[in-house]
This record gives sequence, structure tokens and C-alpha cells, in this order.
Amino acid sequence: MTKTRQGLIGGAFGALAVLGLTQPLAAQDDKLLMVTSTFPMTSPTPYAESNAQMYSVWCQTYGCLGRYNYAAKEYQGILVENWEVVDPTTWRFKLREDLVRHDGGPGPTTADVLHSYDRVLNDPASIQKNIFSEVETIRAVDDYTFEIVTKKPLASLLSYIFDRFIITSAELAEANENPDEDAAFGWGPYKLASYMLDQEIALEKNDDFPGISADAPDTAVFRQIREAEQRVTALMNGEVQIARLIPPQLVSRLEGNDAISLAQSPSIEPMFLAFNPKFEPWTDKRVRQAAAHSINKDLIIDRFLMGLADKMDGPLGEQQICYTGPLDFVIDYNPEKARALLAEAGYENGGPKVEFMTASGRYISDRQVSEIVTQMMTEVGFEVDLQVPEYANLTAAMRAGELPMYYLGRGLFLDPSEPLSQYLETDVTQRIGYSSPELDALLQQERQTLDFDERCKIVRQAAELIAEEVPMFFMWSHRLVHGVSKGIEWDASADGEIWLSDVKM
Amino acid sequence: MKFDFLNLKFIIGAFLLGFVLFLALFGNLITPFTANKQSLMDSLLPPLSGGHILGTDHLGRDILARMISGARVSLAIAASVVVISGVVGVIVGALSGYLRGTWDLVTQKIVESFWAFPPILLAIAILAFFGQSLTNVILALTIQRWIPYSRMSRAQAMVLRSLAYVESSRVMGGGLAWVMRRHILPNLMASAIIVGTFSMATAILAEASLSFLGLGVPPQIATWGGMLAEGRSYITRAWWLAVMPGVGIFITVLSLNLLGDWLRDQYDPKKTLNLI
Repeated sequence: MTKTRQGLIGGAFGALAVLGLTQPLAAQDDKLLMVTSTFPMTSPTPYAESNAQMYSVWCQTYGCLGRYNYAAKEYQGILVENWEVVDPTTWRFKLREDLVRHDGGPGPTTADVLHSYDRVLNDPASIQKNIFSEVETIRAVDDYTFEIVTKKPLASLLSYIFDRFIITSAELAEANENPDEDAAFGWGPYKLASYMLDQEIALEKNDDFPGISADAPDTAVFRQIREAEQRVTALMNGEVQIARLIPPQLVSRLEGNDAISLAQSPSIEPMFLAFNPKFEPWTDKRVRQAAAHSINKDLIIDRFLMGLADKMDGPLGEQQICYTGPLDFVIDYNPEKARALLAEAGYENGGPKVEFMTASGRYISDRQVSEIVTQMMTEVGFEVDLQVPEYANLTAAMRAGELPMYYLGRGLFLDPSEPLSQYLETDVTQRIGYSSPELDALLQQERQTLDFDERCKIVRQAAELIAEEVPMFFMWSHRLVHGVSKGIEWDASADGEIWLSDVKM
Repeated sequence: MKFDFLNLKFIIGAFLLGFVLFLALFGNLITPFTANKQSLMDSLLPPLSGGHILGTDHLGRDILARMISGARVSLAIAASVVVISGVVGVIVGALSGYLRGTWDLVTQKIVESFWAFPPILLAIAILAFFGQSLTNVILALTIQRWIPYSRMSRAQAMVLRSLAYVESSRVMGGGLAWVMRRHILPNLMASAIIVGTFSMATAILAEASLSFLGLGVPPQIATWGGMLAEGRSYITRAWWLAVMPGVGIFITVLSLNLLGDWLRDQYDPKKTLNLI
């Protein structure tokens, strides 16, 4: 694709948007799908962003190793056709040989994989180095086979890299000074047609991709609309056909609208309260348990979140890898027990005073949920000072381990291995400041256990320990609700992403 | 000077502002509820139901109690901003216009520097840096709002310093403090009060804007801007969440603008000289 072509198409979209002609265009071409996105494309470099929505777009265009199929509960290849564990630290992947590059060039080879690995690690624009934090090296076996060697045995390797490692062409990079702008051709089921940074991205179906459905949209536009109210309005006005992530309080605007249906899915983003044991009074397990006992999750879900959340008793829900059913140790809503635990911990006359930080608008009803939690904790005796700092300041302080208590989500949490290590393993990060030799041993053991069933047993032991120790108190995962225009068939997945090849029009 | 208290602007403005002040001071006598008491079982009750005159919000909190709390916060912040920025602005401007020279040059450069920033952006930056608190909101709103007072005071002080009685006072040995206290500052008061009235209205709007953006006071303090932001998402299901604080802001700003207009008319020299 040339800059001129990009400019022309981009200009045409801009002109259409200005003239308000997008809707007539959709009517003329019944295979044009307009979709909302909430994260912007800030760069044409596929390594310059690290959010699930952009990973998904690049994965569908340039191509990635594969993705997780939530319905089948298994990883499925996109650019790779199979993979195997050679030894505890070596994974071997075989690339497909039936793919053609969007410009008619050859299919992906190990040279492209090594080139992409180098770009992730060394491209000045790359902010994705962490996906290879546990990888020692990648080496070619032959033109279509490569091996990923990990620093230690890593059972959850695929969750780090599978849909995150974007493969770009080594040949095009060599032939073009700015390959991401002048030769954005990959092997995925969709081609990058045009983009306007911070506004929208247009993709065209790659008819040469094996097995692509004739019912899938010919063209799709991901339009950035961050405000939920605007997404709903755009859907009701017919400006978009799929409006993603509708918060509970706006669902009623779409219910009863004959032209719109609601697609709903459990999510893999647990919301949690963190109690940092480096700060008083959270050093005392009884106080952490008291805080957890004070919170009536059922009431919040039923009356405030309108039933659009799935209660969690630990770090894992049904959609996540290694979920093995409800935990044995559960901290239920029990204000009497909360008061008793506080009294036992020496706070029979009131207190303790705690600082509680939360975000506003980053997660569904985050500030309001925190206000409810504040009142519930206050009712059992805590003195809670709720603060809502600016989100960048909040996350910076959280990463530096400076927050005594906070309510956040961790982002997509398909495989528990990395997130649990990130938050709870001693000195991996400072996010919570929790340290337990017993939990450290379990987390290290599960990472090195390649037998799936055996690994999940260890994960469960770790989850039981976390539920009892309560450095993190898992609240729920929000239901993902999307508004979909009639005439479009699409099953929402637990990661909230839209794989265009799954859409039928 | 004779004030026309039968003027319609004064009557409406004073009545509306009086109503808001009454709510802020004696609102607790009207509702038994408190602003932050939640009851999820009673969420989104419409006005005049369940004992809630203005209904409840999404967390089951009484809207009237929150309106009263919002009135207190808005008026307290606006009054603080007006007083602090008025005192600073008038003194700096009066000295600048009276002394001229280096003092004038330096203060005017400071004024121009502050004036170059979009006010709401500057306030957002301050709050993002220092965090949420009542004091920080007042600081964020004050930091630029002293400038209109300063510019007005400077212009008038430049005129006053050349008047015969001021020059006489200076020639007869009147010091800076004496001249300022006896001749300059009293002559600036009328204009400062008019600027202050309008400034109070804009301060209320600015505070509501910051709260709307989630950058105002901490969440446990109810504000009209914060209520408006929360009510926005429920506008089709529970209109009272957004409409009530909107009405509160509208009434208060309207009343202050009407009073400001009236005051300006009263101090208008053309009226005093009976030229119209």
C-alpha cells in the first residue's frame, strides 16, 4: 500500500465523515461493518502499542501466532498450524505454508519471525518487550519451523505471546525505509486499508486467506468512540453496527429497540480490592479478612450493576484457564464477623483508618463501586478516606507500591500465571507488597508444570491460599455487553475483541 | 448613592440567591437524610417517593440532601475564590497602576503569563498534580481569577494617581500606605464588587466543570458538577439525577449574574449624572 493510496482512502473517509455520508455508504454496501473501539491507534508501527484492541487489529492484519478460542476453550493457530513442547524450556512452532502476503508476496517464514522478534526487542518505538520477558531466545529450525526457548520452564508461554507476537515481513522491511507506512502488508484474514491516527482504522477482507467466510464483512471500520453514551447514540443512529462495552446503566437505552440486539459475554477481567500488607492496618490478616467480610457483593451486583457481573470467590472465573470450580475457602458477606475480627485485631473501639484509592471512568462504575465499598466498610467500623486521583498518577503510585488499598482491574487475565506472579509473588513487582514463601513456591511450581491437569491443581491451591490470606479480594468480572444491529450475527467473546472472520452479515 | 431596590433584576436575583443560601444554611431542617447515606435497595426512586422530595440517585442517596451539600460546597468555594482573588488582584493592580515603573512592568509580565493559559486547563493541571481537596480546588480556581481584578484596578489607579487631590495628598507627605488606604482603594471598591459578582458566577461554573470531569473535591463531598456527571448516564431512566443539579447551577449563576447586572447599573456614572 502506498502513502498516496492511504492518503486518498483516509481523505475519503474524512470527507465522508464530515459530510455525514457514512450512513448512506453503509446502506449501499451491505458488507461494510462499522465498529466502535475505545483505544486509539496512535502509530502505524504494530509494536508501538500495548493494548488488547490494537493487538487484535494487528493480529487480524499482519498476523500473529494464533488466538484463544473461548467457545472451544483452546488455542488455535492463525499463522502457525501446530506447536509442541520439545522439552521443558523449548517450544517448537510450525508456520502454515498455504498463506500469501497481501501484496502477493510469499507466506510467512522463520526469517519473518526472527525479524519480528528483533523488532519487538529493539525497535525504538516498541513498547512490547515484556511479552518476551520470560523468553531466552527464538531460533530457526528450518524455513517454516522455529523454536522459542524460555529462561525457565513456562507452562503459560502461549498466554504471553500467542496473540501478542505480531509477525511482519523481513523482506518488506529491507526494501522499504518506512515499511509500516509504505508497505503495511501481512498475512492475516484482513488487510489494512486506511487509517486516521486517533480516529479510525479501516480493514478489507483478504479473500485469499484460507477458509475465510463469504459472510464475513468485506470492509470493517474500527472507529474510536471513548464515551459510552456516544457509542450508544452512534449505534441507535445507525452510524455503527457494533457498539462495544455498554455499561449497565446504559443497557436500558438499547433494550426494546427492535433494530438492535444485545450480545453478552462473561469477561476475563477480574475486578479486585488490593490490601497492601506493607501498610498498617493491612499487615494484619484479620483486618484484611474483616474488610472482605464487610462487602456485600451480591447486593452490589443485583442492585447497582443490574446483574451484569459474575461474582468471583478467587482469582479465576469460568472463562479462565485452570478454573476448577468454586473454592473451598470463601469469604462471604458477614458484617458481624467483620466487627469481631476487627475487635480481635485491637480495633474494638473503632477504626482502623484506611486510605482507599480508586479510578474514575477507567472501569465500569469504578468510582461508584468504591463509594459503596467505602460505606460498607464504614458500617463495620473502618474509617475510610476515599480518593480518586488522576488515572496516570493512580497507576504510577500503584506500580511503585505506594497505595495501601485500591480497587482496580488487571486487564485481560486469561491464564492466571503471569497476573498472579505480577501481583503476589515476592518482589516480582511492588504492586501489592505481599510476600508469602508458601505462595511463591506454588506459583513457581505451577509455572514449571507442563502437565495441564497437574498444573491446574497447583493453581487451585494457590487460589485457596490467596482467598484465605486476602492480599487481593476478588469481587467480580463485569459482563461484557455490546449493542449489535439486527442483521449481524456475532457471538461476543470473553476478551471483548471482535474477530471479523467470526462476524456474519 | 441611592440604590434602586425595586429593580426587577435585583428582586429576582436576590430572591433566587436567597433561596440557594437558605437551602445551604438551613437545608438540614427540610430533609432527614444525609448526603452520603446510601441505600442500594432504594436506588433511583423518583421525586416525591419513599419520603425523598427530589428522589434518590443510583446509590440510593437522597438527592435533596446532596443538593444542599452541593450548594454549600459551590457557595463556599466560589466565595473563597472571589475573596482571595479579589484581595490579591485589587492590591496588585492598584500598586501596579499607582507606582508604575519596575513594579508595574514585573507584575504585568506575570499577569500576561498567567493570562496566556486556558483557565480550565491550568486548573486541571494543578489538581492533577496536587490531588483532590477543597483547598486545592480553591487554589486551582484562584490562581488565574485575580487577574481581572488586577487589570481593572490598575487601569483605575492610573487615572486616580493623576487626580489633583491624590497628587496633593502625596505632595503634603502622604505615604504609599496612606494614599492607597485613603484615596485609591476606596475608589476601586465599587468596580471590584461588580467584577466579584460576575466572578462568583464563573467560579461556580468552573467548580462544577472540574467536578464534572472528576477532578474537583473528593468523592465523599457531594457537588453539583459531580452529581451532573453521575446523572448523565441515567438521563433516560432517571432524569432527576442530572436535572436537579443542573437547575441548582442554573439558578445560582442566573441570580449572581442578575445581581451583577443590577450593581453595574447602579454604579453607572450616566445614571448618577442623570444623562439618560
